[in-house]
This record gives sequence, C-alpha cells and structure tokens, in this order.
Amino acid sequence: MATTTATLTLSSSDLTGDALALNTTATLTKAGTSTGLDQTTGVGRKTTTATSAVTLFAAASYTDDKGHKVYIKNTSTVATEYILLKIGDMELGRLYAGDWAFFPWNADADSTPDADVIYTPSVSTALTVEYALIFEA
Amino acid sequence: MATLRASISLNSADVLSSPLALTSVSNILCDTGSLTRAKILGTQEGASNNARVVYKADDKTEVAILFVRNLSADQEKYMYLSETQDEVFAKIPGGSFALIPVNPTKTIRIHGTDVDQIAEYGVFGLDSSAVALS
Repeated sequence: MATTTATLTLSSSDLTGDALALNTTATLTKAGTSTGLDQTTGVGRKTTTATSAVTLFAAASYTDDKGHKVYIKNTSTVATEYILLKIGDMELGRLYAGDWAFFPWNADADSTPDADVIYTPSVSTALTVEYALIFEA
Repeated sequence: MATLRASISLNSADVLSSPLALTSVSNILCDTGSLTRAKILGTQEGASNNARVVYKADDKTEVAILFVRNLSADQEKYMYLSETQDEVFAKIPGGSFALIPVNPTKTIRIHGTDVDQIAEYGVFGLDSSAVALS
C-alpha cells in the first residue's frame, strides 16, 4: 500500500479585510476505503503546437467510479495563454498561465461521451501542460 | 485587484520507486471571493432536489476558481458537483477536496450522500456586477 498526500493552501492578504489562510491535507485513498491509491502516471509534461483538443486521460483506460485524482497545470508564462479543461463534453473552465487544478475523477465510461479528461490549448505556439494521475485498478 | 495564492503539494515516498514531491504555486488575480461552510441540503442533483448552489452562473467573468472541501470524516460520505444540466462531474470523498476552474456561465450545484453533511467551498475570480447572489 502506498501513501500519497495532497496539501492545498489558499492564502491572500488583500482579497478581504480578514486575511485568508486555508491549509488542508488529504490522504489519497481508494474509493470507500482507507487504503492508499497505489498507481500513478508519475508527473509528466506534454507540449502541443496546435489548438486542437488533447485527450490527456481516456476513461476507457481506467476503472470506472474509483478514487482517481487528477493534477493538471498550464506551465505557460504568457498571461493570456490558457487551456480549456473538459470532462467528456462538459466544459470545466480555463487554466491560465501558471494555474493548476486538482480534482477527483470517476473515469466514467458509461456516459456519452466517455468522461475523458480533455484540454484544448488557446494558442498554436508551444504550450506545455504538466500532469499527474494517481489512480487505482 | 487582489491576489489569491493557491499552492498544492503532492507527496509520496512509496507510490513510485522515486519519491513523489511535487509543489505547484499559482497566483490568481481576482477581485472577489469568499469561503463558506454550509450543510448539504439534498442527496440528488438538480435544483428540484435541493442541491445547493456553490456557484451562480455569470457571477464571475472569465476567471472563476472553485474550491470545495468535504468535511465528513467518513470517506464514503461523498459530495457531488454537477453543472447546469445536472451532469455530475466530480465525486469528492469525505476528507478530500478539489480546486478546479469552472465555466463562469454555468451554475454549479453540490449534493451529498446524506443531507447535513458539511461542505466548505468558495469561488474566487473576477466579479460581474450584473448578477446578484440573492
């Protein structure tokens, strides 16, 4: 059994009069158990030079309805460059330069279309995405 | 304009042969945002089933970042995020969280395994003065 933790910090000194300082840690476990997720893609990077959609993780390649966790980051340093993140045909939103997302993914292959993790770069110049999937069989 | 600093660290000594130690920091320009702690009202998606609105469509422009944390100690007490058309896109187990961008034009709702589960959530971004939350 592996143990993987995710620690999130949200802070701001100027968003509200009361400084925001949130820190939370979760141990990433298999669905419905306290057993740690034991498989991962590792941390990878993918560079694109087109504005066509890229399937980062195909739901059909993973077991449906498990405790998978996705990390994805737009490593661009150009403020206007973004990736549009989607789950299947559902648009989540944009990750601008330097932004990241972390979320559970159920790899649902029963939906239409499959709940693939897809992103579309906003530019056709080189744009690199960093990603990791921690998952279970 | 304010800055929200969001960082995540993924760590594991044993999920790979090489230790996993990833830290990523993002400084998000935003002018509004707040944290809310509230009970889950419904156990099915959709407004008609009392799913709680965590983001109201068009409240933000361009950038809207949603944070949701499931405060349940029981991992099997899930919280589900769904979009306007009531399509569930994330299932958060007890004790876990998500930070995701959301489409500013879509309403996001949350429901749970049980009513009265407690969620902590917040949306950060660029505010639209055209939409009132109540």
